[in-house]
Amino acid sequence: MAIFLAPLWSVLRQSLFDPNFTLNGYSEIIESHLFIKILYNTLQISLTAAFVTLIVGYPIAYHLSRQSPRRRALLLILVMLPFWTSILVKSYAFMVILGQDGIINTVLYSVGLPKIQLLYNRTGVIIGTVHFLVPFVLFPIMTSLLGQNPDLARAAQIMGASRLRIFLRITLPLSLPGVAAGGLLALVQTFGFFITTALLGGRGDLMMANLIDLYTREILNWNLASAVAVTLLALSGGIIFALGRVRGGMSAFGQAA
Amino acid sequence: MTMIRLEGVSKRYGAVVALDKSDLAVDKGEFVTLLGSSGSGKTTLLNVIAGMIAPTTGRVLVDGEDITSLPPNRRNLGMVFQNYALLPHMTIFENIAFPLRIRGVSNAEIRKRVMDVLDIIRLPQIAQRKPRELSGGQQQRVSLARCIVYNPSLILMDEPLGALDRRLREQMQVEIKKIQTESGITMLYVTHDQEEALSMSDRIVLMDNGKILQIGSPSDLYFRPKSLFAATFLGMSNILRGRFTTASGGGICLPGGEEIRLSSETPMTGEIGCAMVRPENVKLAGPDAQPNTNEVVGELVMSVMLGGITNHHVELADGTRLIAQEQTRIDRAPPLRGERIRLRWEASDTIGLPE
Amino acid sequence: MGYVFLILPTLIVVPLSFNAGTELSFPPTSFSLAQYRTYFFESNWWEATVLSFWVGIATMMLSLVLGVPAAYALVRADFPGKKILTLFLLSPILVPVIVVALGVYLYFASIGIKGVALPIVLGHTLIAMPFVVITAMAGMQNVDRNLEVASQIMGAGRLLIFYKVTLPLLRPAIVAGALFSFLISFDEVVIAYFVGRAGFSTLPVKMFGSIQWEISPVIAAISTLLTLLSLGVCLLVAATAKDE
Repeated sequence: MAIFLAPLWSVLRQSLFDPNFTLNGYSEIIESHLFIKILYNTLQISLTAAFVTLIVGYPIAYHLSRQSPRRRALLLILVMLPFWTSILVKSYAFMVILGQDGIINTVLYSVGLPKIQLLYNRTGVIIGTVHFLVPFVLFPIMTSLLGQNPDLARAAQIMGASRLRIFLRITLPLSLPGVAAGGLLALVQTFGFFITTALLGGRGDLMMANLIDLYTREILNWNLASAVAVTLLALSGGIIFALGRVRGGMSAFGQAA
Repeated sequence: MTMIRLEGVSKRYGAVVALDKSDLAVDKGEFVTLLGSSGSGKTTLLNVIAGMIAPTTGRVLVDGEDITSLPPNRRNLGMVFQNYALLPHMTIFENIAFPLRIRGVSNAEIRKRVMDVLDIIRLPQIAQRKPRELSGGQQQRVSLARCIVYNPSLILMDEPLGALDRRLREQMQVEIKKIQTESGITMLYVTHDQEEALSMSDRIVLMDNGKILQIGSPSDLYFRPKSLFAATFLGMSNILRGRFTTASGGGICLPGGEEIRLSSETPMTGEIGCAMVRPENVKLAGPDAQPNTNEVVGELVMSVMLGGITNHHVELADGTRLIAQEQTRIDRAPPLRGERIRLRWEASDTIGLPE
Repeated sequence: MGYVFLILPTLIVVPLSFNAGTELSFPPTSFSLAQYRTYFFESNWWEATVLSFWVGIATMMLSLVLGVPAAYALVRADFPGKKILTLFLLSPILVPVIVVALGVYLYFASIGIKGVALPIVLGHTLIAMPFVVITAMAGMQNVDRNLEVASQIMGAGRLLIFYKVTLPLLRPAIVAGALFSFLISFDEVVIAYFVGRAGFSTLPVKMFGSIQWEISPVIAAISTLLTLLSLGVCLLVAATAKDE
């Protein structure tokens, strides 16, 4: 118990006492253009990444849910391996793939197309983040797809519904709790993103975690760093609360393990 | 000699009474069944004896010793579960040896005793198998062996045959009864299956709604039920409502005016009550048979042939339905639907019951 | 298509690691083990690996010792506030790691502990333990309560039941929890980066620095080895799960 609470308590205390009680940390960050810009960045990147992740993850989850258990277990290895791979390895790999002389640009150049800037900007961050997040959204969606009674689709089919209509009117609506849980899970993960932005993002395109790092290690203002951290924690707390209200949301993050 | 005695045992969860004050004594070597539907309190009673539930009031005595406050592992009881509860990571040998190892029995002795009980359950060759390699019936026999091996004062069986199919269940009933009789173990058996209770028990404890309703031998409970619930819970029964009279040593007057004589006088003279008679005691009287006491007339609703026996369902003028059971005969045409039927039975087969 | 997106980055580092040159180029132009040689012999990479290994082992031990009994209690016992406690124990998965990192950093600064290994191990335990709790709780669902009741009636005490009945049945879940918690710690960057100092870098922290500033080609070799480690862990967990 204590080892859980002590660090969080330290952050909260540091954000309010410096060394006497003060709200300076908070008022300072609210007035700081840098903080506002980074908060905006963070929300923008998180929402975009979560959205793209759902678009990428849903078809995979759908495909997985339609496989025999044996094939599914096999295909899941393709999901689990990147999930358990170090984020550094993944970021490094994306630098190789997206870089100025990376694989994509080499291919573009060889077919006579101009090179494009994919690294050290927003695009790079989004790609890296989405890749990281896909396994997180995949499990809740797959679970809700697998939980559907297959007789519903069969009944609709016998009544003459087309496959598209079955998907749009039955499968998709019934899987929405899974989608919501996955999306919220993705959001809460991105809020604290640090490595991906530091490695794949542009120099000025920081997120809140990078700001905490900056305040702590370079500017050495723990008070500010803690104020930012508490804000971040509050954001995450809001998402976790929402997750708790979505059906099956709380069990969603357990399934990754 | 009394093996286990319950004195005023009850269990209450807040305002809910799971088990009303109950007394029960089971003799050494006796096979006693707690019979009731779910929620009747039979499992609560079993768990109080096992020590899994602390009773709100009362005492539990085993062999004269008060064990009410002892934890389950110090009561020296055995228990067989519906889902066998064999330890999946141990071989059959190790499963049966487990309680002996807890008791610090020597290895040579363990070997001998495990092999002995495997002989008793007639599965001597399975010692090195794992539980999941056995069928349900085999697993349940091993589970019983694991209790017998350490000679507990009492073996509790919690719906042990509930997971087996009907045919296997009947074989296992015979098997368990045989093992119990031969080894002289005291058993307390819980079931909701009345046939199981009737076929295996020395005595049955009938429970309903957290109360013990009646304790007696299977034939006591079947032919001398003390309540309408007991009469209808065990087997099929015909119930006729009326008003008790004292006429000719105890009787009941039906709404249609017929006088039904009972096996004995009831203390409830003048009150509304019921007469109960088992279908196998009700006879179809031919049209030219002499009038008799305990006779009613009705219309045949249907005849159901169940193999060796046939049930005739007859509806009386007031709407009461009775069943008469006969051996199926192919040399005689069955009565037709709608035919007027005269039913009769002996006064000695008729039980008066309170409403 | 989706699977390719998922798996490609993980696999692309393999051919890269056998490249001879110091340039990042794909496809590799020549085959060589030069990067592996650098990793194992020519720099202090190996030192960082050993440090990460011991931090990982310590994290694993601590997570198991705290996490398995906690999971046992959460599944078996019935007490008020159980739901809240479960949520609380699992919450570090959802709390941004950076906040945990800052917290550990500030906490140890405030109590004046100078060591570096202890804060890292505690920080890692914080984020690894929920995985142990989750796997152990999932494992507990497979441990039939009646097995414990039956053992108790046969005369076994609580301790004996835990060691002879519950623990052996939980083995696959514990193995999975142990391997995952080790891997989480071994791969973790943010906490180790925050709390660590120059001269005390775990492997991921050293990699992070290297990728950030120079992109040394030895990273490809290390990445390949890390990927192999992850693959090994995944397969091992799958194997123990199937074994039971």
